[in-house]
Amino acid sequence: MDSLKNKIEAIIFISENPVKLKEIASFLKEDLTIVKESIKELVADWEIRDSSIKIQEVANGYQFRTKQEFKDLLTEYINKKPYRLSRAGLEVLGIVAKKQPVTKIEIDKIRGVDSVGAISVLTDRELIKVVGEKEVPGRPYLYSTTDLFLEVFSLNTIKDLPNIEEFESYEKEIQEDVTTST
Amino acid sequence: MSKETVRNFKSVKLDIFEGPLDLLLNLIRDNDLDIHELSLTQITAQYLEYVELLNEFNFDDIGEYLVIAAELARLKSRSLLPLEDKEEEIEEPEMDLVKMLKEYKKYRAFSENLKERSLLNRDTFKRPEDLSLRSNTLWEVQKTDIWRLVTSVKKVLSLENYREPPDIEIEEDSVNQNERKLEIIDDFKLKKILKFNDVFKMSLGRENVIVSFLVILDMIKEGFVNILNKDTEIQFEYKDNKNGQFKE
Repeated sequence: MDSLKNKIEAIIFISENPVKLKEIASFLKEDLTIVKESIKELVADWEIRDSSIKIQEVANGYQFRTKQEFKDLLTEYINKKPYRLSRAGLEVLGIVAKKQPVTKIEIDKIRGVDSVGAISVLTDRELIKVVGEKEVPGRPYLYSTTDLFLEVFSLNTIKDLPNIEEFESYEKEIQEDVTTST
Repeated sequence: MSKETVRNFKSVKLDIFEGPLDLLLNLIRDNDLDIHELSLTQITAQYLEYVELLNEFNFDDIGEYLVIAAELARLKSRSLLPLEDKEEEIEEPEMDLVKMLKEYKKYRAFSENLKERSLLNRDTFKRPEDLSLRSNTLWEVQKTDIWRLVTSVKKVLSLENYREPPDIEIEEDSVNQNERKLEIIDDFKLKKILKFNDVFKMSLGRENVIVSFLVILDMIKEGFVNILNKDTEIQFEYKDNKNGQFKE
């Protein structure tokens, strides 16, 4: 029972945030490629197993999560008022994700409206953060997305997002808001 | 509101728009048009109707809508001018509304796509944060809470850069314990949790800090306030009693 795979499994299990491959390897004093191989097997094991949870590769790390099929059950069980991410919030988040690091003025210019409210909400929820100042008059803040953004949106890296040009001719009814919480 | 306004109000479908560009894109879509200059001139009237409506509601932030309205009016007037005049105008710096709309549309669609991803705490869940696993376990800290509070207050009082306020005569007993208590209660009504620095402000003077300290101790004793430790910071939490009211 104390195979490398089991040790890795235990570490991922007790971790609150996604655990990075490097962290696991250096803690177990094992070779990176060997650990990586073990994790791969582990992920596959959980995928095959008749289980409601899986190991998700997210935010450049690994995390135990419930499978999508249990969404409704768990939403009811947790019974917590979910908070809303407004359309403005999503738009700003999308722009920051694609253009980072980006200033508020650049965001406002794309949206055609002031984004101060959305930026402060996203900052409060730690989905975006200030990463520096732009070397222009006024030295405005530069915003980037956070690791929590990757975690919440089930992304391994920011590069996993589709190319913005794919949305050139995208037409869809816009809905009012999205429900999520972090 | 006049009858006229009420009629207008009914005739306009009230969507919530995220700004003038969003409104324009919706008008273009509703009219089955593509994004180009000609289609913009076609929807100018509808756009202006909407802006008028916003004005009717005394919307504070219609400035952004008006900027775009002016640009639409300019495009429209230019489209009515004979060709020769258009060429002269080229040197003028102008906002490229078509380009802006195309760019915004991409991001709007992209953000829609974002929300369809598998979202944590909506579509998938992880084990919730378990505070008892943290090194600062609650029971450990609570034993020393009052002493941490005392030490922290002492620290505020001994701030080296504190200077006596300039020549202002301060009457004795200027900080009344009951008054300070009511102030703190008011603060709690706004925010359920107050930070250490919200309660103990050296800028309000030494006496205020001491009185605040007495008030907080009193409230802890009466069970209205909990001391919390968030990371290394002390915070105060107001506990609701049955009536949701403070005893005075």
